Amino acid sequence: MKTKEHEIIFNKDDVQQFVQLIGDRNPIYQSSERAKDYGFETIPLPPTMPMIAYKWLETPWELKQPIIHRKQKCIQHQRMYIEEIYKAVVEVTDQYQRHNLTFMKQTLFLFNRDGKLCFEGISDLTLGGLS
Amino acid sequence: MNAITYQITEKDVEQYAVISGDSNPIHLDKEAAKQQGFMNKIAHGMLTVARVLSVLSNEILKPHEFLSQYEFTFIAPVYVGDLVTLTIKQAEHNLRVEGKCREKIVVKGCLIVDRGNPR
Repeated sequence: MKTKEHEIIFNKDDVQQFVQLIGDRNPIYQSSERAKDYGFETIPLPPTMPMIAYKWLETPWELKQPIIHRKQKCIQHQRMYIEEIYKAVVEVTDQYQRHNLTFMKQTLFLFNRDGKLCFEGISDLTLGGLS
Repeated sequence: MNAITYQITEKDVEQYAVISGDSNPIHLDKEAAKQQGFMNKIAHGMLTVARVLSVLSNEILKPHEFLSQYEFTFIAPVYVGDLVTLTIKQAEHNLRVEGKCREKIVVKGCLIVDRGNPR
């Protein structure tokens, strides 16, 4: 199962709100000028931030309670930046049932405008079911 | 080896629910959490990971260094109000972290650091 592609843009306010919440004081997230001081094109995304793309996505399936997040693996193939257009797709794989629970992997893929894979976020979930 | 302690507050969890759009009631409603077998509201797994990575960013990494890959196993719930003590082991480009609450391991992770120039 796979979603359609959705276009996503992370902006400066998203990054600043995010780093304020998690307490990351790295100056590269504070302004484009500070990011450039360290060799970046502009403000990069903090490494866990791409996962919030889920809030902008609609999946045609629904996860049923209880939803338990067992493992998380993330691979950033390319550094990601604010104000860039990314294409997001979510895919469900490795789905199986044991007793009354469903086990599955749900993977978020983010591609840049050229179609290059930038980010993979693989979530191992246990849930009450999938509809 | 370094050890660092931080707290996950109710406000952290509420704000992460807004920022991430994950408003699963086990994070926000004590009764709903209890119905699912938890003692209290639990932190989002990705909030735990994000807080761990911010500790590494603040304490271990240089500003241009980047965590290109990370993998975490959530062994036990992190409850709202919990103090999480992180133990961090470094070996060249790899970091290993273990988080404990009340003497119990709650999260384990391994991370790869890209120390090269930004691209």
